[in-house]
Amino acid sequence: MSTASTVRGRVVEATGGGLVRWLAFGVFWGYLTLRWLYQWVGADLLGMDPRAPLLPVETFRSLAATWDGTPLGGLFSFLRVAGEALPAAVTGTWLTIILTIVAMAAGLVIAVPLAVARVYGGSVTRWIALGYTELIRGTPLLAQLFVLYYGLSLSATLRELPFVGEGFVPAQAALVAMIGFTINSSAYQAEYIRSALQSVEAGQLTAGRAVGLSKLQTMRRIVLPQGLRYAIPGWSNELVYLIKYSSLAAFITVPELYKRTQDIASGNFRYFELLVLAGIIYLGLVLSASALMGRVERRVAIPGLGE
Amino acid sequence: MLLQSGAWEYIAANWVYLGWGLVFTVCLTAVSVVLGFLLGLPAGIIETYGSGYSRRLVERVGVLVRGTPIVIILVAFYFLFPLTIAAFWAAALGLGIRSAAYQSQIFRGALQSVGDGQMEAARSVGMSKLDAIRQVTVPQALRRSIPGFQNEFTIVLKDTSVAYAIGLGELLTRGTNLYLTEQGNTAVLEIFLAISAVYFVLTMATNLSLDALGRRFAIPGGEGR
Repeated sequence: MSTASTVRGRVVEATGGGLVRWLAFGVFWGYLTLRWLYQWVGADLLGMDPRAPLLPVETFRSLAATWDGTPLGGLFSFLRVAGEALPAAVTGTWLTIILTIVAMAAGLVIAVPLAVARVYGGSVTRWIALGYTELIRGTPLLAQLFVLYYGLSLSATLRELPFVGEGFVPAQAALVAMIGFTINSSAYQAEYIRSALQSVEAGQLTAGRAVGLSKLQTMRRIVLPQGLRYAIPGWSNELVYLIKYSSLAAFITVPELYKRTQDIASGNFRYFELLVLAGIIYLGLVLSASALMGRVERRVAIPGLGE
Repeated sequence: MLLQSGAWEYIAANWVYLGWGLVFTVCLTAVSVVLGFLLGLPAGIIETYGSGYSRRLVERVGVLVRGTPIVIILVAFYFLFPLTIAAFWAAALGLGIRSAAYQSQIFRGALQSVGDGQMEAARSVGMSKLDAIRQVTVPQALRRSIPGFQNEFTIVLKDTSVAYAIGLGELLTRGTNLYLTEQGNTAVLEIFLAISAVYFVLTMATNLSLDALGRRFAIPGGEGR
């Protein structure tokens, strides 16, 4: 299978004016951080309910009643539903972020040897690496999660392990999702790293050897520093991709952002408002990730390289 | 957990049921990709050649759609048109619009890679801007966008499985329905492996066909394959 470009979704370029954008990011992350701090420690210290919305929900309710039937009423009605759901949604957002970061990091650990096997390996390792990446990239992520969760009943195995679901260790379903996302992400990251390694000119290797570096030194000091820079756009995509697709963990009972909002919706039937709320939070995460990766790319850019 | 022969027999016995799921998956993919093309190509053209206002609008909508998980898009479409729209069309609209947002980027990139000289040459032989776009730059850009399009096609194909969220009877949903029966209870792993294998074959077939298409329409001596 020839995959000339292995990008699975262009980077979402954040648009909009500078100040407005940073203000929006500030409000978004400010609220999330405050809410997390409140739920974990603040509520205990203050002797308050950790699930209190911390927003004037009742005011929204009465305003919604006052303006009932107008667009303004619809807005306040949304604000009330969103305000009531935010405590649970923000808890779910934390899990969404954890799922994404773990899958990114663990996926990278598996992806580097895979990519090296594809580029510099012998015929057997090359085939094994190719088979793995193509199988994973050729089947739906949701089917992969179902194989792990329902097919192999991984959660039953994981439940027996110590510390699972206690303190900071996620519960078994979340662990299954992490394993699934890691496997999936490793295949895509391997493709990005492979094409990045291949885009470093062969002459660079020769030049490194010519000035007396060993093969390993050349890899470490010449090829990888350039290759990893080429891989940054791919990683930005991967990060955005994982943030969005982590929502599929909801279908194997993981209480992340999408699942939490849906659970509330099945109680109060405000499906659409809650979808919009979840959508806004995902969009905030995605745009933040894009902006962050854009900064990283500019920070480490070498003038004239890869342009 | 053994791969029992009884489980495979159970899957084989239900081949008609799963076969219809395959039909759903293929049709949903085809409709969504075509819809994505019909919306995505103009969007890509506007993003490349459009003037300020229309271009910004298309870009904003694109960012919004590309920043939202597909499951939210699908479920939102399903709830936006309660009872007036079949799950199939809700899924096709959702997948199609998201695909359009990505295809617009593929076509924008391809159009930008066609040299400015092409546009100038077309204008200098007396073509209008619209004619030049239609007859000179787009035909070249389309050939260059085949690799990116290949990717997008397989993404849509795999993401049809997310229609599981709205209970559409495509392949994956039917698979889960199969294992919820008395007999299917012991065949869970086999069912999902069989279904994954079908998706894999579909993905491979898509890639090979589009490779062939790329070769068929390659410009002899041209670049950008």
